[in-house]
Amino acid sequence: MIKSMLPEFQPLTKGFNSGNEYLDNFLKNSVALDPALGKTYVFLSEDESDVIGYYNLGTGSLEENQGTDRIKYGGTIHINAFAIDIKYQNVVFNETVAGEKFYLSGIMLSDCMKRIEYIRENHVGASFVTLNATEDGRRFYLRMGFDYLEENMIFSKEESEVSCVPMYFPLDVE
Amino acid sequence: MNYAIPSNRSFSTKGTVVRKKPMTDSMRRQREFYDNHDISVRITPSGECILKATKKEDKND
Repeated sequence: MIKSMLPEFQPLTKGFNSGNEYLDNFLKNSVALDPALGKTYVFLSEDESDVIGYYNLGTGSLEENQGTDRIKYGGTIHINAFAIDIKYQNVVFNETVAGEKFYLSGIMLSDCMKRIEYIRENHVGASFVTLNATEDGRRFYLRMGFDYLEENMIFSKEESEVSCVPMYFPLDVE
Repeated sequence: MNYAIPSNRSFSTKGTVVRKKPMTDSMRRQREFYDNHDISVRITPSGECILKATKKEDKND
Protein backbone atom coordinates (compact mmCIF):
# COMPACT_ATOMS: atom_id res chain seq x y z
CA MET A 1 0.00 0.00 0.00
CA ILE A 2 1.18 3.48 -0.84
CA LYS A 3 0.32 6.23 1.62
CA SER A 4 1.11 9.85 2.32
CA MET A 5 4.23 10.15 4.45
CA LEU A 6 3.36 10.80 8.11
CA PRO A 7 5.60 11.55 11.12
CA GLU A 8 4.74 8.14 12.59
CA PHE A 9 6.34 6.41 9.60
CA GLN A 10 9.73 8.06 10.15
CA PRO A 11 11.10 5.38 12.53
CA LEU A 12 10.48 2.86 9.72
CA THR A 13 12.81 4.76 7.40
CA LYS A 14 15.87 4.23 9.62
CA GLY A 15 17.08 1.16 7.73
CA PHE A 16 16.03 2.37 4.29
CA ASN A 17 18.81 1.74 1.77
CA SER A 18 18.22 2.36 -1.92
CA GLY A 19 21.90 2.44 -2.76
CA ASN A 20 21.73 6.21 -3.21
CA GLU A 21 22.77 8.09 -0.09
CA TYR A 22 21.08 11.34 -1.09
CA LEU A 23 17.72 9.66 -1.68
CA ASP A 24 18.05 7.67 1.56
CA ASN A 25 18.83 10.77 3.59
CA PHE A 26 15.96 12.68 2.01
CA LEU A 27 13.49 10.11 3.32
CA LYS A 28 15.10 9.81 6.76
CA ASN A 29 15.23 13.56 7.23
CA SER A 30 12.34 15.82 8.20
CA VAL A 31 12.48 17.31 4.67
CA ALA A 32 10.40 14.33 3.57
CA LEU A 33 7.57 15.93 5.52
CA ASP A 34 8.19 19.48 4.35
CA PRO A 35 5.43 20.62 1.97
CA ALA A 36 7.68 23.42 0.74
CA LEU A 37 9.87 20.82 -0.93
CA GLY A 38 7.21 18.43 -2.13
CA LYS A 39 4.82 15.77 -0.99
CA THR A 40 6.14 12.33 -0.05
CA TYR A 41 4.35 9.02 -0.58
CA VAL A 42 5.68 5.82 0.97
CA PHE A 43 5.23 2.25 -0.27
CA LEU A 44 4.72 0.24 2.92
CA SER A 45 4.61 -3.45 3.61
CA GLU A 46 1.17 -4.89 4.42
CA ASP A 47 1.65 -4.63 8.20
CA GLU A 48 3.30 -1.18 7.90
CA SER A 49 6.51 -2.48 9.44
CA ASP A 50 8.84 -1.72 6.54
CA VAL A 51 9.30 0.91 3.85
CA ILE A 52 9.66 -0.68 0.42
CA GLY A 53 10.09 2.59 -1.43
CA TYR A 54 8.95 6.18 -1.71
CA TYR A 55 8.50 9.06 -4.09
CA ASN A 56 8.17 12.79 -3.66
CA LEU A 57 6.22 15.12 -5.94
CA GLY A 58 6.59 18.84 -6.48
CA THR A 59 5.92 21.28 -9.30
CA GLY A 60 7.96 23.06 -11.92
CA SER A 61 7.87 24.22 -15.51
CA LEU A 62 9.34 23.03 -18.77
CA GLU A 63 10.77 25.85 -20.84
CA GLU A 64 12.43 26.60 -24.14
CA ASN A 65 15.65 28.55 -24.39
CA GLN A 66 15.14 31.39 -26.87
CA GLY A 67 18.26 33.49 -26.80
CA THR A 68 18.28 35.23 -23.46
CA ASP A 69 14.64 34.37 -22.78
CA ARG A 70 13.09 31.22 -21.44
CA ILE A 71 9.63 30.64 -22.87
CA LYS A 72 7.31 28.32 -21.01
CA TYR A 73 6.14 25.12 -22.71
CA GLY A 74 3.94 24.22 -19.79
CA GLY A 75 3.70 23.44 -16.10
CA THR A 76 5.06 20.20 -14.73
CA ILE A 77 4.58 17.83 -11.88
CA HIS A 78 8.16 17.05 -10.95
CA ILE A 79 9.22 13.76 -9.40
CA ASN A 80 11.73 15.10 -6.89
CA ALA A 81 12.68 11.67 -5.62
CA PHE A 82 11.88 8.04 -6.45
CA ALA A 83 13.60 5.15 -4.72
CA ILE A 84 13.11 1.48 -3.85
CA ASP A 85 15.04 -0.24 -1.08
CA ILE A 86 17.79 -2.50 -2.44
CA LYS A 87 16.14 -5.50 -0.75
CA TYR A 88 13.16 -5.13 -3.07
CA GLN A 89 14.71 -3.82 -6.27
CA ASN A 90 14.89 -7.20 -7.99
CA VAL A 91 11.74 -8.71 -6.57
CA VAL A 92 9.47 -9.73 -9.44
CA PHE A 93 5.87 -9.01 -8.66
CA ASN A 94 4.27 -10.68 -11.61
CA GLU A 95 5.40 -12.46 -14.73
CA THR A 96 3.11 -12.50 -17.74
CA VAL A 97 2.63 -15.48 -20.03
CA ALA A 98 4.90 -13.71 -22.49
CA GLY A 99 7.61 -13.63 -19.83
CA GLU A 100 7.37 -9.93 -19.08
CA LYS A 101 8.27 -9.15 -15.51
CA PHE A 102 6.68 -6.52 -13.31
CA TYR A 103 8.95 -5.18 -10.63
CA LEU A 104 7.98 -3.22 -7.54
CA SER A 105 9.54 -0.13 -9.13
CA GLY A 106 7.02 -0.41 -12.00
CA ILE A 107 4.18 -0.83 -9.54
CA MET A 108 5.28 2.26 -7.61
CA LEU A 109 5.70 4.30 -10.79
CA SER A 110 2.20 3.25 -11.89
CA ASP A 111 0.87 4.60 -8.60
CA CYS A 112 2.90 7.78 -9.04
CA MET A 113 1.61 8.41 -12.58
CA LYS A 114 -1.96 7.65 -11.56
CA ARG A 115 -1.66 10.13 -8.70
CA ILE A 116 -0.24 12.75 -11.05
CA GLU A 117 -3.19 12.28 -13.40
CA TYR A 118 -5.54 12.70 -10.44
CA ILE A 119 -3.76 15.87 -9.32
CA ARG A 120 -3.95 17.27 -12.86
CA GLU A 121 -7.64 16.51 -13.19
CA ASN A 122 -8.65 17.74 -9.75
CA HIS A 123 -6.14 20.16 -8.28
CA VAL A 124 -3.26 21.59 -10.31
CA GLY A 125 -3.03 21.72 -14.10
CA ALA A 126 0.15 20.52 -15.75
CA SER A 127 1.36 19.53 -19.19
CA PHE A 128 4.31 17.33 -18.32
CA VAL A 129 5.92 15.06 -15.77
CA THR A 130 9.60 15.78 -15.28
CA LEU A 131 12.41 14.20 -13.31
CA ASN A 132 16.17 14.09 -13.09
CA ALA A 133 17.24 10.48 -13.49
CA THR A 134 20.30 8.92 -11.95
CA GLU A 135 22.44 6.82 -14.25
CA ASP A 136 20.85 3.70 -12.77
CA GLY A 137 17.31 4.99 -13.24
CA ARG A 138 17.68 6.28 -16.80
CA ARG A 139 16.91 3.01 -18.60
CA PHE A 140 13.95 2.29 -16.33
CA TYR A 141 12.34 5.64 -17.14
CA LEU A 142 12.99 5.24 -20.88
CA ARG A 143 11.24 1.88 -20.76
CA MET A 144 8.34 3.52 -18.99
CA GLY A 145 7.87 6.15 -21.70
CA PHE A 146 9.95 9.06 -20.41
CA ASP A 147 12.24 10.75 -22.89
CA TYR A 148 15.30 12.96 -22.93
CA LEU A 149 14.67 16.67 -23.34
CA GLU A 150 14.58 17.93 -26.91
CA GLU A 151 17.02 20.55 -28.08
CA ASN A 152 16.54 23.89 -26.30
CA MET A 153 14.24 22.37 -23.68
CA ILE A 154 15.20 23.09 -20.11
CA PHE A 155 13.90 22.95 -16.56
CA SER A 156 15.52 23.99 -13.34
CA LYS A 157 17.53 21.56 -11.26
CA GLU A 158 18.21 21.29 -7.58
CA GLU A 159 21.88 21.47 -6.67
CA SER A 160 21.77 17.77 -5.82
CA GLU A 161 20.47 16.91 -9.31
CA VAL A 162 23.25 18.53 -11.34
CA SER A 163 24.86 15.23 -12.35
CA CYS A 164 21.49 13.66 -13.25
CA VAL A 165 19.85 13.31 -16.65
CA PRO A 166 16.75 15.50 -17.15
CA MET A 167 13.79 13.60 -18.61
CA TYR A 168 10.18 14.40 -19.36
CA PHE A 169 6.83 12.76 -20.13
CA PRO A 170 4.10 14.74 -21.92
CA LEU A 171 0.68 14.19 -20.37
CA ASP A 172 -1.21 15.15 -23.53
CA VAL A 173 -1.48 12.58 -26.29
CA GLU A 174 -1.51 13.40 -29.99
CA MET B 1 -8.08 45.97 -15.30
CA ASN B 2 -5.65 43.14 -15.35
CA TYR B 3 -3.08 42.22 -12.80
CA ALA B 4 -0.87 39.62 -14.39
CA ILE B 5 -0.55 39.55 -18.14
CA PRO B 6 -0.89 42.04 -20.99
CA SER B 7 -4.52 42.01 -22.11
CA ASN B 8 -3.62 41.65 -25.79
CA ARG B 9 -2.04 38.25 -25.29
CA SER B 10 -3.94 35.05 -25.91
CA PHE B 11 -4.18 32.33 -23.31
CA SER B 12 -2.21 29.48 -24.74
CA THR B 13 0.62 27.22 -23.86
CA LYS B 14 2.96 26.26 -26.66
CA GLY B 15 0.87 23.12 -26.94
CA THR B 16 3.08 21.46 -29.52
CA VAL B 17 4.79 18.95 -27.28
CA VAL B 18 2.65 15.85 -26.99
CA ARG B 19 3.32 12.18 -26.78
CA LYS B 20 3.47 10.50 -30.16
CA LYS B 21 1.92 7.35 -28.73
CA PRO B 22 -0.30 6.93 -25.68
CA MET B 23 2.19 5.03 -23.51
CA THR B 24 4.94 2.49 -23.94
CA ASP B 25 3.54 -1.05 -24.04
CA SER B 26 5.48 -1.88 -20.93
CA MET B 27 4.03 1.05 -19.00
CA ARG B 28 0.52 0.39 -20.29
CA ARG B 29 0.60 -3.25 -19.19
CA GLN B 30 1.98 -2.32 -15.78
CA ARG B 31 -0.66 0.37 -15.37
CA GLU B 32 -3.42 -2.07 -16.32
CA PHE B 33 -2.08 -4.59 -13.84
CA TYR B 34 -1.85 -1.95 -11.12
CA ASP B 35 -5.30 -0.53 -11.90
CA ASN B 36 -6.94 -3.96 -11.83
CA HIS B 37 -5.40 -5.35 -8.67
CA ASP B 38 -5.15 -4.58 -4.99
CA ILE B 39 -1.49 -5.00 -4.28
CA SER B 40 0.23 -5.79 -1.02
CA VAL B 41 3.68 -6.86 0.06
CA ARG B 42 4.20 -8.95 3.19
CA ILE B 43 7.60 -9.32 4.76
CA THR B 44 8.07 -12.45 6.87
CA PRO B 45 10.20 -12.36 10.06
CA SER B 46 12.97 -14.08 8.09
CA GLY B 47 12.88 -11.24 5.57
CA GLU B 48 11.13 -13.14 2.81
CA CYS B 49 9.02 -10.96 0.56
CA ILE B 50 5.55 -12.29 -0.22
CA LEU B 51 3.69 -10.43 -2.91
CA LYS B 52 -0.06 -10.50 -3.24
CA ALA B 53 -2.19 -9.15 -6.08
CA THR B 54 -5.93 -9.56 -5.67
CA LYS B 55 -8.03 -8.81 -8.69
CA LYS B 56 -10.37 -5.95 -7.98
CA GLU B 57 -13.98 -7.01 -8.13
CA ASP B 58 -16.20 -5.54 -10.79
CA LYS B 59 -18.42 -2.99 -9.04
CA ASN B 60 -21.34 -4.05 -11.26
CA ASP B 61 -21.24 -7.63 -9.97
